[in-house]
Amino acid sequence: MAVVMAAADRAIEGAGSQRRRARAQRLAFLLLAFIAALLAGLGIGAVPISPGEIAHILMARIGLISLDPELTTQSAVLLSIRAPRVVLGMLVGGALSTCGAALQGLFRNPLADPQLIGVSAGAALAAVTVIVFGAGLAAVLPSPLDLSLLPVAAFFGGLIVTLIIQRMARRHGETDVATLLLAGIAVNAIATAGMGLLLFVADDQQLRSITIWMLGSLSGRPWSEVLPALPLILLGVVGLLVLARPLNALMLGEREAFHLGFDVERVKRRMVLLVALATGAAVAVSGIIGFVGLVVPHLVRLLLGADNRLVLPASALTGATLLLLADLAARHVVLPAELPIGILTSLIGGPFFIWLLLTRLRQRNA
Amino acid sequence: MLEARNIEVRVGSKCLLSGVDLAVTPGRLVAVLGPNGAGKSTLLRALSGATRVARGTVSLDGKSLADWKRRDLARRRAVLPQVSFRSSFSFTARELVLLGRAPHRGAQESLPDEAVVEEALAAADASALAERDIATLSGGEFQRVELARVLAQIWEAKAPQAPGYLLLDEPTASLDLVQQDRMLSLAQSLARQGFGVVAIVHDLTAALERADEALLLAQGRSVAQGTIDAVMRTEPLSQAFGAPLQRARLEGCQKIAILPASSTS
Repeated sequence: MAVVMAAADRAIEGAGSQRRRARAQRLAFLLLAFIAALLAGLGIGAVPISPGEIAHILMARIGLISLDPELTTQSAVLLSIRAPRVVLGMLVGGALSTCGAALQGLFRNPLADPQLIGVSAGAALAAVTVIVFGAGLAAVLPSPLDLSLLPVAAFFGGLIVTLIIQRMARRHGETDVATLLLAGIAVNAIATAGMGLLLFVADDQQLRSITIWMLGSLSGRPWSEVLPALPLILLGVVGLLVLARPLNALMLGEREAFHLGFDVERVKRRMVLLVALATGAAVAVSGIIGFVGLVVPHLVRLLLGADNRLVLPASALTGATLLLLADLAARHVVLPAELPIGILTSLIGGPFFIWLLLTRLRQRNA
Repeated sequence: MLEARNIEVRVGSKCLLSGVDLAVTPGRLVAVLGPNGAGKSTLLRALSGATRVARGTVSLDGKSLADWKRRDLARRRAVLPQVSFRSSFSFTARELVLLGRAPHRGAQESLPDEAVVEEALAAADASALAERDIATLSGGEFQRVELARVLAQIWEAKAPQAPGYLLLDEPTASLDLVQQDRMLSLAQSLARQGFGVVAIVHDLTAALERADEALLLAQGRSVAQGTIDAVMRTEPLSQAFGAPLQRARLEGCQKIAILPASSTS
């Protein structure tokens, strides 16, 4: 009997360590995919730049070596066009995916996503309002406040929507997910109508930038526009990563998280703020890029399980990877023009969402 | 000791619980009985600290629950939820149980999490389920894994100087007869190991067999309380449930069943 028990113990432990090893391998794969996407994003384009040249240019930039004169064009393209774009893609993809994973845990539902529940739309409406009416305000603000006006407005837009949605969807201390998604639809409709109104009063140049916001794009942002979003997104993402443990408890239910000794209300408040911060900042620099926050955490959970201590950082990493790849595709599918990346992610993410809904329906019926 | 003294719980103008006392001592299984809407779950929520009492006190070791640090309290009392929310996310049973260790993070005096998880799984009769995805578990299996999770939370509190308390909110709901008995016998054996256990039980016969003490509630008030035998009398039971109940000795064994008194017999 004891021998059998010991053998069973070993088998169980074996299964556990095997699982851990598989996870480590998959994590390594995600990391490699990220590096590959990074090099591809920096290197592929009208002016191809090899990984070796990228290393050379970067080392020359920080003064370790002097720049090979033959690489002058490459250096200019890399440093002032591709690098800000790639950094932006990483930030936005990482932010949206981490926020998606956090919202899914917070609402205890794998269908939550910053765009679906309207946070992105709220942020975009605020950003567009600033574009149309804020020009005068930005002109009187000293630098760099004028440049952070958009991200800050987007943050508050996202925050207000998150608070409204959270309030609407609460029933007896639990979040009702059907209400959540319906409220998201309503908020999206209202925000879209608001943006439509603003389109109506906007002049030609504003019109162009509003369209880009609504479609979502990483195109043509110089460092001066990318950098103000950087600290906001980093703060949001890192703040969410720190909340992985309480988020794990929240996945059991709010009361269960309370029983486990967490200050549930405080954790929820913080998460909502951080999600609004990161999403708002991401939307402010890239517009509405949908479904990234939905798809990425799902892929990550399939590979690594549901523990948020892994899911959140891996979502940040994988979100960055996927958005870099999507951007690469957006830059090349309709050459010489460029597809707004938001269209591409929605084209891929929409069907994925439908598939997810159908599987869940089938599970419920079974 | 986990103790509620003369507590009253209100929601708005509605009084859910009034003048209820309950003292839970380590090593004892206390059954909370009563018809639907009697305030049993409300009492459990008050005992866990999730619901504020409008009057009276709930204390652990003589210190009001409100004065306890959340984490310290979480290491001393755990709650098995009534209808356990089964996460839509994919967890193995072992990972779920590990979540119960949250309040022990970085605590010096705590045992290693991995060891506790295995012991809690064993104590809840769920070791064989450790690697299973919780979505694939039957109701009875999932309930035992949940029990392991709440046990892991207060595992160190077996020591007599700081005993742990388990609050089980209808641990047998939606289980078949055999699984119900298995669950209550687990609750009984956990009490024997030194935990103070409170369980809301609907099956009076099972309660009579397994529990040491009972509190019988009706309409938010205590109808009877004390040792299980003293409470399981036909009068208070019939009064609490608002229908005549009878005790019947089962043929061929020493068990006593509590049944509705049918009008024809």
